[in-house]
Amino acid sequence: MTDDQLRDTGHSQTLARRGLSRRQLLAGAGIAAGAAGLLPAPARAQSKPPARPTGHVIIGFSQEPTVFNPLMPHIEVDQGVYWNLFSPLWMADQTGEIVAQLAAEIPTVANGGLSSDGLSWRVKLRPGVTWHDGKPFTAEDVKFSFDLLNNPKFRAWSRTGYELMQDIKVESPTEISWKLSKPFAPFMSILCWTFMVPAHILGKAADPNTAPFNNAPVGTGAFMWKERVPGDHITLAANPHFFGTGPYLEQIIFKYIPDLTVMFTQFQTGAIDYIGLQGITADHYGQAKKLADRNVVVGPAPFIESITLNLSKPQFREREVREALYYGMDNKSIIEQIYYGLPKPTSTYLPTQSWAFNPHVAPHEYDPAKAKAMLDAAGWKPGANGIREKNGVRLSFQNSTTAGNHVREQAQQLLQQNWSDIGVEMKIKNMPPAVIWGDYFNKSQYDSVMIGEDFMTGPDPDVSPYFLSTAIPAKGGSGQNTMEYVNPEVDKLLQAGATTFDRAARQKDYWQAAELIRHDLPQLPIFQYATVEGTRKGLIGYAPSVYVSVNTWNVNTWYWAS
Amino acid sequence: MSRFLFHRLAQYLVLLWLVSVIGFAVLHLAPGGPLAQFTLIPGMTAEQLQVIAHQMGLDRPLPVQYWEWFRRMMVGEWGRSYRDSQPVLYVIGAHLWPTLELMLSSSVVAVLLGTWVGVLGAIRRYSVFDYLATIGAMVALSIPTFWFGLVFIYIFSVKLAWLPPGNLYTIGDGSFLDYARHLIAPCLVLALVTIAIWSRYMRASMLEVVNQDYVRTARAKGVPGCNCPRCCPARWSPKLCSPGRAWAACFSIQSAIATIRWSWGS
Amino acid sequence: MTEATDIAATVARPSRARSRALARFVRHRLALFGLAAIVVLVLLCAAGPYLWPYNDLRINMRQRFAEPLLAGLHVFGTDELGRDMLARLMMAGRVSLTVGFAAMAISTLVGILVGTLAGYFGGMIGTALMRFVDAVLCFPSIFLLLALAAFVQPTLLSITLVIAATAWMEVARVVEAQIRSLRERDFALASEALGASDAHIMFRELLPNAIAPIVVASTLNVARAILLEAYVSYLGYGIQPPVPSWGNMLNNAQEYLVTAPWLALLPGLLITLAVTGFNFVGDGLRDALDPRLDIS
Repeated sequence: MTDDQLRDTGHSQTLARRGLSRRQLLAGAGIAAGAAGLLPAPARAQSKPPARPTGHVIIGFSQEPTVFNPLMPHIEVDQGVYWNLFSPLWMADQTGEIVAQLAAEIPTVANGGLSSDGLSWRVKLRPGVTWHDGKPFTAEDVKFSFDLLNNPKFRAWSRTGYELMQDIKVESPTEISWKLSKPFAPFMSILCWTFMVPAHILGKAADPNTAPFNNAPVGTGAFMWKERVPGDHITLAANPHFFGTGPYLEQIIFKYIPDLTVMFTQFQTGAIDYIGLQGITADHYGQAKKLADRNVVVGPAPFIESITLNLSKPQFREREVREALYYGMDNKSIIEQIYYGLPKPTSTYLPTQSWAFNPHVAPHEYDPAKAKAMLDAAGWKPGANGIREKNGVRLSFQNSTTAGNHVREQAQQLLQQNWSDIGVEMKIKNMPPAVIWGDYFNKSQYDSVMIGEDFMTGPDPDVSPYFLSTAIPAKGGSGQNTMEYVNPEVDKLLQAGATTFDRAARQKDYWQAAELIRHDLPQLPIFQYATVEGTRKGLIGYAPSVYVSVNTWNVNTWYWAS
Repeated sequence: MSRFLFHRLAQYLVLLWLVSVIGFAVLHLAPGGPLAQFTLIPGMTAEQLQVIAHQMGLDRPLPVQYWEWFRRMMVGEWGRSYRDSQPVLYVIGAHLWPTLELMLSSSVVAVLLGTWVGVLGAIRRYSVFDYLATIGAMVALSIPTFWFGLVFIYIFSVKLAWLPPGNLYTIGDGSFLDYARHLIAPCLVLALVTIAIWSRYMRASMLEVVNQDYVRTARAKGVPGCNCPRCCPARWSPKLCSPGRAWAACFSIQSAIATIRWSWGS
Repeated sequence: MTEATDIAATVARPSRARSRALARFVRHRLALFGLAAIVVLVLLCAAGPYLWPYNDLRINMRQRFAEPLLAGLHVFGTDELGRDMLARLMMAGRVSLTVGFAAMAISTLVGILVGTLAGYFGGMIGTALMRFVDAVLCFPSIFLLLALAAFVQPTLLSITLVIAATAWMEVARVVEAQIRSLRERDFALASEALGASDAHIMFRELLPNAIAPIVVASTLNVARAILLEAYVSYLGYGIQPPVPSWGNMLNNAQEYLVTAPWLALLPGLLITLAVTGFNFVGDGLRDALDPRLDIS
């Protein structure tokens, strides 16, 4: 197993079970598809960063960060703040390359950091790092963070991977080691998003769930906590002792603007310098492009928008029906008209940027005549009101999405018309996110939903929690397979992929799985999202990345052109 | 007298208790319940939700939960927000000032304008002004406020760019003038409905007073100018109470609208 | 002889009072205008869709955002999915007006029932009922509306019931006050002395005399119901797409305010027109049926 291969397994990271699935429900109007190579070349040649931190940047978010302990349950926008307050052992940059942060170097077999079976880890830490309050950062803090995550009384945001850790030992103030109870390829990537918290502060709290630290966080990041006005904004100030690049800004302000249209207006008028999470809606894109003095960037995002079907419902049990439904969808109009051509069409669940993406999977075709023929051949004849039926089952079902997402609702209505043209009745039943993401989704009570999901997290393409037959919550399993999809071959392929560290072998398994799933069509993929965000001209350093939740991961490198 | 007061007090205590029960029930029985916002977290599994539910005591029988909540509320232990573990009082308090600011300013504007329109309408009954004022008031009561806010933003913030489209103030500029500019739009839109209500009340009560004997005598005696100083004080007190409930209802709706349209702090 | 003419005069008076009320209503020009507006709207929404060639549901992706008056037969333009605005406004009018009337009917019935019972029986029952009404009134109606809407599947029927559930309290209060004062009057006491049943006294004697404020409250309730439906649908908890209602058309339109303002302006104008119409009629009815004005 070569170094390169092992380093590449660093790319294998899954908080797969932590799927950013639910993120999409929070997304406002469609954030459209990703396209590789739509990133602008950074204007590095023009300007040099200032010698001392100067100026401030106002960052607009349409969700409010409210959880400031990075190990507690949080939503994506909270992570946007964590990147600036805290640091992980290592992280992925926008190309997917793993870069050491609090660790001195990435552990590999060659440098002795990783055993050849991937079970024993030994990580050297960067010396001379201090917390915002001046105390030194040591291996004790790393051990404390991991122990906290495994503490049953603590409300951890995730236990995947951490629960496999055993024998966490502090070898020296700058060295720590642990063992994993079984090989888990995505673990390297899980640590990309695991931020370290201070033992000397949280360790003293009576109950870490409600410690004052949670509202006055202390980290090792490029910026320090200054103030927060709930419901309005959060201000962070530059950390002069930051171990990494920068910071070049004196202050950063995260402004919360709940309405996407209002946020866009504020971007237009210059009240905010960077329009971030949830970004510019597709229908404002045309306007945004024409703005003088603003850079609008269409970057890739790892979400796939699809119609997810509940295979336990009688209408969806036959594969032919699902394929006919897929032929009956006019995805091109949805992408080009409703989403203004920003997303990219896709027929599989991984983003094109992932190394496990299978480009040979059959693309989607809109062919209503073929759809009708398929349904006729499968025995579904038009009955009352022109709706097809077979053996007493009417081809009629409900489709739900999160209420308030107007662009998606338009796509829903178009699909409703497409399907009614081939004799299938779809009823729209939208509901607020809190209702959909409760038992309705988790216990597979829906007929079909229209959502965007990120089946991987960061660079790792392990999608087991979504497709394994043991991951069906409605049947008592643990995972996100609410489609109740069961395919023993896919099970074997995904399990093999998660336990082997050989990237070529993993890719083979994952490509095969993608073909099988494309054939079975438990979900009907439409497009891959792109984020449309913008900055004021003169702001240098912004770089969208599919490997993070929010694009404020590198604010420590941002500065204003002089 | 004291028996009457006692009865009334008892009734109102029962009323408050009923309100607390209804409020608690609605919050807990609504789909999703207090755990709803945790379901928004990516990767939240069913087991974790159960753990959280147990930690928060949400799996106890509902009457027990209600009693715990009620008991704590009585002693001032308002607990922490489910979402971010901040003390509830702090969360409420932080949002209180912007709401009050908006309510107070739009009340002042509404009362001043409303009184002027109402009194003038009563004095010049059936004139063109009165006619227009009546129509205006009726239309103002009928306009959906959120729509009016939209139109207002469209005209004044987008087309004419005279007023800022939202927020309490511009970051970096906290001057009084800046605050005032940001306050104008939501204040005016919210005041609209109250102006309508208030002007009609003032008009009605002015009409009652203007026809009183003592006023007619004063006019006959040749007392010059405006009748207002004599008439108004007599009619203030009862009239202040009746629109009270209408105001309360108005403000709840209007505050929600201001928050949505202008991201008004709260 | 005088007694007979007195009795005859008493019998004749009600119809003369009614015609006087009618005369006062007709003189109230704004009320007439309001009535005319409502009649026009109802006719338009009821009959219009049968005569207009465009369907309100047919999506036409090539004709999105057509401007009014500039797109051939689409006199009011098209919306974000290319559907004809006039057709949608008319169908939406059906929904909004139906909800308005139905909610008013239900809330009036419930309010009359509760108010009559409370006002007639008084004592413990009356107090308990009225305190319950007060308790529900404590909650801002929007809060109540949204909370209830979260419980139910948003269909036409459920939304109507939810809106009615937030509007019956006012009617109950008005009715209770009226019944309470009328109960002590001579004709009521006489009825009781004659041995009439409670139900008879409540519904055949007292209620007909309290009709005036009920009629006024009902008319204003329609206006309120239409506005509430607009609010609820605007917030996304009311009538679901693709069925149009004036409220949910506004919901979809706000992000296109700058690029396609007619999407927001037209439904809002119609809501305002309908609600204003009902308010004027209610105002006119209040003046027409006010017994104090009758004396002068």
